[in-house]
Amino acid sequence: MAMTEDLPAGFDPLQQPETAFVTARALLERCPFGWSERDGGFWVAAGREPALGVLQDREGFHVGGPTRAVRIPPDPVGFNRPLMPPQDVNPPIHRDFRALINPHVSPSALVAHAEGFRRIIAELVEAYVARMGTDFARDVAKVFPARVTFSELFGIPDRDEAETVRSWVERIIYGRFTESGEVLGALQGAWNDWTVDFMARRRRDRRNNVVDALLFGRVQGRPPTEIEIVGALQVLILGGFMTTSDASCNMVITLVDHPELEHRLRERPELIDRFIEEVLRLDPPVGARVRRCTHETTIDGHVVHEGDRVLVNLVAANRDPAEFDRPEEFDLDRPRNRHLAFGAGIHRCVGSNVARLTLRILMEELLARATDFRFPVGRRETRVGASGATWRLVDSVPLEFRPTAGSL
Amino acid sequence: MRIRIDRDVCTGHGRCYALEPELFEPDDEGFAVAVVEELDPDQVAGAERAAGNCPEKAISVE
Repeated sequence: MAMTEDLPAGFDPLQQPETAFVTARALLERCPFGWSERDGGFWVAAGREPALGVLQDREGFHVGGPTRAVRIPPDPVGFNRPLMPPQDVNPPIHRDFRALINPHVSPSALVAHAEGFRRIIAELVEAYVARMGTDFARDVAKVFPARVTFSELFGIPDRDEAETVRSWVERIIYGRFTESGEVLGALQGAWNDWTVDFMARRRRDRRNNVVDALLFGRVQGRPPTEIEIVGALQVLILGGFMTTSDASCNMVITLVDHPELEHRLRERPELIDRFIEEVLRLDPPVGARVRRCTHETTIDGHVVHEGDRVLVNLVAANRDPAEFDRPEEFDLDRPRNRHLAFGAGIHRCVGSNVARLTLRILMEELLARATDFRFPVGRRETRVGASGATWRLVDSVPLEFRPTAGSL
Repeated sequence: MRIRIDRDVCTGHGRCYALEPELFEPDDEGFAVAVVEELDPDQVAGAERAAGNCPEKAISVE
């Protein structure tokens, strides 16, 4: 077992986007599980084993208390978000919310949406290639997840409505450390109002989709409260937007950085699934998760006390040399890839099946229409850090390409 | 040999049935179910591949 020690004073586990991988390596080498004095003090689980152990311990590590989710660092003053079930709630009610949502985002349920997903994505990619778009993030990656969620899963065909909500959510996430708590609070307020209004509309107009499941379902033997439904709908929106957008950008960035991959994926399209998994492993869109210890326990020789916070660093866990050979290299032929990009344990990303399906469709549609991916000399993607170690959001991707013969 | 899925540990990542659809399938919520009771010798490698790709380590082949 690796010896662990406390993090050196001044070392910042709440890494910014440029230093995420260096931080991950340093954590894995020096302390796969250790204590940081930052932000009032918290544990960092960087090794895959302690990370998995914390995430799988549903009784020993909770996502927060009855009214607030545990976050590192805390939300700015004035920015109050509703608790978002199932993400922000613990057993036993957690299971009830998942039971309402899971059947609508399971692989078998998504079969009915596959064609709709493809229509939305193909239309965007086609337009992007036809006009030789200059920013893959703005033109494609940030747009399609909102359309897919709203049009297909929520049954809101109105694209303006999807775009309005998307812009609020984007500002809330991207602006977490640049906007004041007041501005964030106002955006959250507008989003709350929209959500309540949407729920009222849907109560009169049932569709038998995931929205109805929450509106008319039961948790702990009672109907969910209004604020629980607001939170649950918002996390379904929030969870799918920036994550899928970042993973999409990371796919094309990988194609630029490893030009030999394009040919292999064209020759053997069945490798696209493995390509997606390896992209997710090396650069998980959600870089960290936070838990609070509910009773004293020992991890890697350290006593973790009740109430202690733990930051699970997924970027590091996915690069643990104890689990992955040559962990920092992109390897399409990795025989085993147990990455934690979607988390682990009962809070495993509820939308992972939607993500995998839409990412595959995006890759297929892009390869059908464009080739020879590269960046302009001296430029590449830009990123924005937010919420400590959680996000390294891709803000722009100045992708260049040639349209394929078939797309002209 | 048989596939054992710890249903308390499986959270429905779906790697097993994506990789080995002849050995695993999703239930209505996406949790894994083994579709083969007793593995043929030529199925063991596939079952072990699925086990090795389960993020939760919920699958064993024994």
